[in-house]
Amino acid sequence: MNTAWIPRQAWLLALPLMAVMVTVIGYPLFDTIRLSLTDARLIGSTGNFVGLNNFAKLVSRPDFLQALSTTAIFTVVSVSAEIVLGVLTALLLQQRFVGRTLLRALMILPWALPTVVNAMLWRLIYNPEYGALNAALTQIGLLEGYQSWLGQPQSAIWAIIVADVWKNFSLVALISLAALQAVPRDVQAAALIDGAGIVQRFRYVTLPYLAGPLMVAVVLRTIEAFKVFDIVWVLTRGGPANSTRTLSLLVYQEAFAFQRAGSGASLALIVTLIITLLAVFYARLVRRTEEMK
Amino acid sequence: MGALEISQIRKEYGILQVLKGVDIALDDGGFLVLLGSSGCGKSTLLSIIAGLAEPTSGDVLLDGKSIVGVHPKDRDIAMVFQSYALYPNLSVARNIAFPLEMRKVPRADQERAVAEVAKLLRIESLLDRKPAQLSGGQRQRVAIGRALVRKPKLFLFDEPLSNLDARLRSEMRHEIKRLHGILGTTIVYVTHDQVEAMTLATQLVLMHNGQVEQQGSPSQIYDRPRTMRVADFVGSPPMNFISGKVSNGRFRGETCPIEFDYKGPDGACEIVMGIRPEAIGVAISGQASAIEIAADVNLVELTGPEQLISTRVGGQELVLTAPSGVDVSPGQSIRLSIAPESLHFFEASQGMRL
Repeated sequence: MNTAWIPRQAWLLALPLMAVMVTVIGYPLFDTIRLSLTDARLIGSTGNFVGLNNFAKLVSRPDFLQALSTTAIFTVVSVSAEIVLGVLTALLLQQRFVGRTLLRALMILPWALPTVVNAMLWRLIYNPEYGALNAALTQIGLLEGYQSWLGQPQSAIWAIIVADVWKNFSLVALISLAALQAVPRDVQAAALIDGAGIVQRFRYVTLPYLAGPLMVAVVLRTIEAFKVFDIVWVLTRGGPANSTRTLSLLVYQEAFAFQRAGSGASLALIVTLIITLLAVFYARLVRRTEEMK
Repeated sequence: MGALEISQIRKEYGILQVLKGVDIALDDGGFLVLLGSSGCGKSTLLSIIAGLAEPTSGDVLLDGKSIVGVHPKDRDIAMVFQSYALYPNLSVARNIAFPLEMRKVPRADQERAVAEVAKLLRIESLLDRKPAQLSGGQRQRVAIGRALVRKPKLFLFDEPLSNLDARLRSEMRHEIKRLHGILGTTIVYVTHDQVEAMTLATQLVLMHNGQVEQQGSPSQIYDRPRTMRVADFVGSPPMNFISGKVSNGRFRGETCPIEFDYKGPDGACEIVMGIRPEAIGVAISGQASAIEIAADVNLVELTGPEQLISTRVGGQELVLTAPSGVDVSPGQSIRLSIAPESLHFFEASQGMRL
């Protein structure tokens, strides 16, 4: 049979998709790169070619470095906490107890909530006049008086991290719970007979089956966390004193609030580059974890 | 070392009775095979011995001491699983050493024990590999190694050869028999494969529906099955059964024109006669003591050294085995000879041996 026509036919069939991709992803990406090399303003000036000037200026700007460090702290802390909490929750929900089915169903709720709704919820909890957190902490005596959790530079980022962890640990728990179903019962039984304790059983029996799916969760969560915008925007708008301004917020401010389209585009490209590098690094890690088995 | 006594073990899940009062005794160094079709309770019984499940009632004694309620790791047992159950990210050497490592045995002793076991199982060259890099047979050797390394009182095998192909299965069967010969440890071995059961066991227990149908040596089980069920389960092809009546000292087949002087035990007149395929011969010339009947050949299956001949006698099918040299073909009428001393008799209502 002559199959030489297949590649040509295949290209033809893929053409509509390619056309859409080029229009909605290819062109904006190209245009962003073009913009990043100009000093264009959002309104008024279409800009002149300035080469890599925008990039050079950005990397020495203190607000960029501050946003980078804020984003890094947010990402590392929230993803680590989500992984630990998610795995512990999954292990708990793997035990047999009355009400397990109900809890397993409820567990997905935080993740299913829209981020904005979640953020509004936490704004109420953190409210400095009638918030539940203040009430709870003063009533059990851990706190003297009500605090403005989102209004103080030293606590605001941590308050956002807690809200983000609460929302996203349930995704990690769900992925872990699914992975736990793949741990063979015989291996668990063998470990029990061989005398492995609870920590060793987790390490040698559970973890090998959990590691792969967990790495996928880490990749997803890290990339999401690194480009975080909405939860911060609703809770603090980057304040107080820019202490919670993440890179995505800075991009927004640069490009739209300060109307510096060229410089904003450069910043957006830097964020994209960092995320791409992270993704590649993690993809290798996932492959290595899978090969270990 | 390890004498095992199982008394009145019952296991119930709600109203479902999985084990209905099982009694088994096994001497130190014995090789006990639990044989039965799936769902007979043999694996549940093994789990109870291992401590992976607790009995509803009853007791398990190892060397005279009750082990019910004792943590699996403290029972001095080791178990080999059908799925091998190796630790996926540990090397072969560490898999074998694992029970020692968990018991904080000094590193040097661990290494010596692993080397010894590896030599015994001929897997020295595999010690650095991961389980995923091994074939099924090699994995099962490693799993056996992990069980051997601790020198427990009792070995439990849960259908260890069922995942292997036919050739490997017989190879590993020899291996297990060889190891039992060398080490002389007590073994409880669960299988549904009667060849494994017959060849390995010193004591064979046939289970059915949560109860022990018969316990005995393989030859006792084969030569003197206590019930029709045992007779039917053990032996391939299975025993032929012919229902009939005994009156005035003569047995008359119901669906099959067979009639002879009944010299078996008394006690029932509704009787099922059992005859193993290899106890039926193709009659050449009239032997004085043999029972002879006419039969039509339906089907001839050559297995290599012998052939399975399915014949029809009246309304009844009789299967016999004959050397491959015997010349028969479908449609042919032949005469079958049956030696009276090779007959088994069961009473018809309960299927108990007479």
